[in-house]
Amino acid sequence: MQLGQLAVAGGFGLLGAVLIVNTSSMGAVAHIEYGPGLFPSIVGWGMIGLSCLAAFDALRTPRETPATTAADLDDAPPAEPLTPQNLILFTAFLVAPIFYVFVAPVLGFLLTMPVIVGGLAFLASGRPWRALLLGIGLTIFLHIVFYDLLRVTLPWGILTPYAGILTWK
Amino acid sequence: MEMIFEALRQMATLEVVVVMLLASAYGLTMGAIPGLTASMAVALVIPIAFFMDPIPALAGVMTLSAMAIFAGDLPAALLRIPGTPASAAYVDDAYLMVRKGQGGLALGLCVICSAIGGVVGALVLMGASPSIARFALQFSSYEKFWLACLGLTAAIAVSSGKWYKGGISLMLGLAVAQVGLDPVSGQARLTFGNGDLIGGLAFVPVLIGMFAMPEVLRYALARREMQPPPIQAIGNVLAGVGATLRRLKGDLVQGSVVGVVIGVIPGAGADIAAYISYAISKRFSKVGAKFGTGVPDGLVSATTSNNSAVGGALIPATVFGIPGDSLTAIIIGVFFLKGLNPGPTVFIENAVLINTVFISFLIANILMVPMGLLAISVFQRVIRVPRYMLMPSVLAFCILGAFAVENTQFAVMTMLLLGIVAFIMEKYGYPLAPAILGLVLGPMLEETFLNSLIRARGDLTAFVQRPISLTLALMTLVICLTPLVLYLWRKATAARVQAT
Repeated sequence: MQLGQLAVAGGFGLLGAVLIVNTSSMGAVAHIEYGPGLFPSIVGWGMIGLSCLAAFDALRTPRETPATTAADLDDAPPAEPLTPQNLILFTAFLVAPIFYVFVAPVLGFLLTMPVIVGGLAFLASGRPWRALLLGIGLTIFLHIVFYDLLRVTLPWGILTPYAGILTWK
Repeated sequence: MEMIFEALRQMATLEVVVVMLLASAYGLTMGAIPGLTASMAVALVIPIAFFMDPIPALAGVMTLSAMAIFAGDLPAALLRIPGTPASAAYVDDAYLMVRKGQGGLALGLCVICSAIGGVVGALVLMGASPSIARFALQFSSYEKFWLACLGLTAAIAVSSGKWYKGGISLMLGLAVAQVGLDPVSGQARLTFGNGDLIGGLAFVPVLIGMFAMPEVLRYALARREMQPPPIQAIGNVLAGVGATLRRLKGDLVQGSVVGVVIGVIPGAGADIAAYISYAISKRFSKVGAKFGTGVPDGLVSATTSNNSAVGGALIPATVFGIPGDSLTAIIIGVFFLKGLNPGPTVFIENAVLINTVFISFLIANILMVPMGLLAISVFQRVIRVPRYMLMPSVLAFCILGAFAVENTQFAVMTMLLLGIVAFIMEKYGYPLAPAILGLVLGPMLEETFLNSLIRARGDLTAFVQRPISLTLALMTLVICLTPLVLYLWRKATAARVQAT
């Protein structure tokens, strides 16, 4: 039995059920026989059916075993084993967009992005100066491209009073 | 013809030229960096294209998609790591040729064959699309429905791994496409009371999340820096290329034809075209047994074919709005963003813009020769950029790209959520391409399905009463039943072998 595969199949099956439950009560509008719930229901049932197949396959397939032959080992990429550092980095990459969502409106793009990029580069490499240079350099580059050239409204946050000075034109 | 000249006239601006050159450089860089695919390159650039005028934006996107497929050959030859999946078929031949001191010939063949394949694909695209579109004008909602079904089932059939996982991936794409207002009645559905979802999940954050985030997360979990390889002596890049191509002109033609034909099939793509071309060359070559040991014969057809497939895949994409592969699905997304709605009427309603797409694709493939030769000399160092610098930069582009198009923080969260889903899917062997195709084709599929049902007053037989719709339905059925037939056939064969 492959637990991971089973969990993923279960997750998709659940999503199919959510589709059906959420749209089944939507009635048809006047003069149109087929309501907005029809197509999502078909997709939902399709997803449940296919998830059952995936779950059945996961149940009858034995657990994956590590590579044992020389050929297997040759084909495997030379990945590092899962270490606490890798888990921290993984979490950091996941948290970074959430950090941006909550912090950028307060600190502004120019202060938030160097923290994200520099922080992640430092966590990945342990080289503070390179990480700092990358964070600052990339932020300036992105600001010029998106804010100055493409006119995307980026948050200024606490730097709003200095927006005029910090705009490269 | 006059539309082609008009498109050329509108393209003859400094802005378009600069955009095409920058897109070339960007496409070559992204394609050359192992792990960054052509699809990801286009997905990350959509936020920039969004803010540009249609003609430079479309010219830039077409240029970078052509360049990125070729650029995958560079790390394949220099590091034995295909830059894009499309270069995987002949990675051993290219790499071993470099190791044998034939680096110039290997890379020269890659750039010239890619350009020839790309030009053939572009010319077929320009020649065939208007004629097919005239034919497609007869299509009603029934034919369009079956065509969308055919594209989606073919996408599952050719996707890697188990077919039902491709099916689940497709259902996920269709489900994501249904969030927001129902296309027929206009009622809000699957919004869970969230106002941000009424307009549906934005296409760009979803694309960026699904194509770029998994790569970043994979790196974080299995952090590894590639050992910088020794800089190989490449030598004169064009020396011996002409003689080799004269000797292997049959392979060149085979690669071009196979690439276009495979590219046209919905769901297939450049990587499958390269594998099939490689297999055909190996079967019929006098030195077939030496394929994979570093022979130029193993390179020519496959590297030609993966570039001509891009042109082939653009035929159903422009004429029917049916993407041939995930790269074309993303390109269709850009078409929609720039007001170019693919379909048979595009040659009437948006003749200049669609010709801009074709011409820029043709020019990009010609431009590939000088830009590719330049890239070969420069990129030996560029492809060794450390991943600890690359991946945080990619994440920054993801965040900013998702935010820029929608200008909401919600788009960033959408990108993250879909990125996590895509990461889990890839980890457990679920292909992503059907999900993207489902996302692109979902609205068309639902609209044609409901309109057909309303027209037929619920009579399902109306779906197969017209000859073309019946043919398309049968083709869809054949593709659906093929895995089952193959399974039963394998079982029967195994039983027969056991019995004897």
